[in-house]
Amino acid sequence: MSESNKKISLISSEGEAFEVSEAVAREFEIVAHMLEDGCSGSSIPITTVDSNILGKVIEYCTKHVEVGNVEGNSEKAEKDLEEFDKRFIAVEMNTLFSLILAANYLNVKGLLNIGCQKVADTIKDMKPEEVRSIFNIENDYTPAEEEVVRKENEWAFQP
Amino acid sequence: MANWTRLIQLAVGQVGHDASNSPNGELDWTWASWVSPTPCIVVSGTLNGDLDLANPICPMAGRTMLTIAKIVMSLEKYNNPVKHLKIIKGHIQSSKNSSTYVGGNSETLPIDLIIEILKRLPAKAIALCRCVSKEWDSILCSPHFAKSFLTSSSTRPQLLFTFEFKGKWHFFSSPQLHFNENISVVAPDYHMGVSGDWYKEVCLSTNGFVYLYEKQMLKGKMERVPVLCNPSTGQKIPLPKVRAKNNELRSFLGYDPIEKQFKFLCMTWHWKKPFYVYFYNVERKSVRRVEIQGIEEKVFMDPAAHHGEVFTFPNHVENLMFRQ
Repeated sequence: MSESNKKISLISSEGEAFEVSEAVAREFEIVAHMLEDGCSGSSIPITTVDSNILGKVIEYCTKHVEVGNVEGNSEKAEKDLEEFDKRFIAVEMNTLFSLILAANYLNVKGLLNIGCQKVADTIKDMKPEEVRSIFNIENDYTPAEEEVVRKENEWAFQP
Repeated sequence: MANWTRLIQLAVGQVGHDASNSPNGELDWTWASWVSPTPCIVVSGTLNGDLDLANPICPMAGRTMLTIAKIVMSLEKYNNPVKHLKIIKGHIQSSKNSSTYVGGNSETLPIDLIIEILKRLPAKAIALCRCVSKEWDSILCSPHFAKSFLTSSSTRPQLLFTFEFKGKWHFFSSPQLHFNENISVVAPDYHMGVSGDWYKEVCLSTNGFVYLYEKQMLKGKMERVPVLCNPSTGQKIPLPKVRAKNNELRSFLGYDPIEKQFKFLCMTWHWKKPFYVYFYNVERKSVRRVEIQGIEEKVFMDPAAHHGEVFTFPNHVENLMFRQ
């Protein structure tokens, strides 16, 4: 029990410290591994994630740890968590990409999953041009090549 | 009601194991109306042991009954059932709160994270994404992506519906409903119409493919040709007609999860010696015949008597659930 009261500071790329309980910090698998490897320091630098995104990832992990600790009434808790996830992930695409990158780096699997799913849901009805703009991709097809690949996949362009 | 629709629910009477949504290994079952009335009703639930399976629509009263979905397929306007469904789909989609995205993006993702996203897309969107760039095209066409797409898609199994209308099979899919979802209406996605022949015995589905018969002109004669069809992409793979000299054959489609291969299996329809199973390997296009021996000794059959139909169930596994 004493373990869960232990506080750990996570330091963002700007040097801002976020104090969290060890249980929340352990949601970051990268941090959990550091702790298991005997890294006993109470402050851990997360150099690739800025304060804004780190704050959000901590908010996500805190909620999931809280709900995980409540016993009984699991169906309602599950629903609440689903609602929370839905609201949490309804952000603009730039933030969403940053969250995915951070979740991948920190190894927060649940967040990575809902982030990727949200992007997939957003692009699933988009035209190739719109998808290119979302992912910052340059069209390297020549017009003739593009016509061939479009023809091959013509069925998918029909509504 | 005239001659128009025979709705086949591919999951009718089937008990399926839905690993993604039943972490405790519960068996899900699904039942849908066979000949399409309006609305088409799908009942799904979880078997808790005390459920009366003989009368699947009744368990509504019991604790175990979970969800009834009315799939609103008003086929009264059967001249264009597809169009009607689309209207419903549009309505439901618009009511969802989806954040719309406008403009470019300053963040870029590494390719492994892009793959994480793409494998969550439906097959139709994958085809569109092949047009994004050459790199995306080569990734999306790779066998490695096909494999991880199948793994990802297996975590969200769907209910596939099809019915024949004017010489075409129309395919729809809807999310499988679960326990704690309080949904009473769902709008299925329309995949496509595939020209095919009504032949209920062979409309079988496994691992994203459906096995059906197509009418084709062969040497000036209209013939029924067995095909493996992907309702998501419309791709059709012709299968050979396996013939046995002295017996009619019944066909099955199976997916071998160990060898990760489609296997197409033919059995003699009625019990008659010699008794064969034919395995067709879709990838290698090879047929192998195996004789099954020794059944008479087990049940002491009289070789002169007439023996009944043979039923075969591919991919059977042993299970220890529901023990008293």
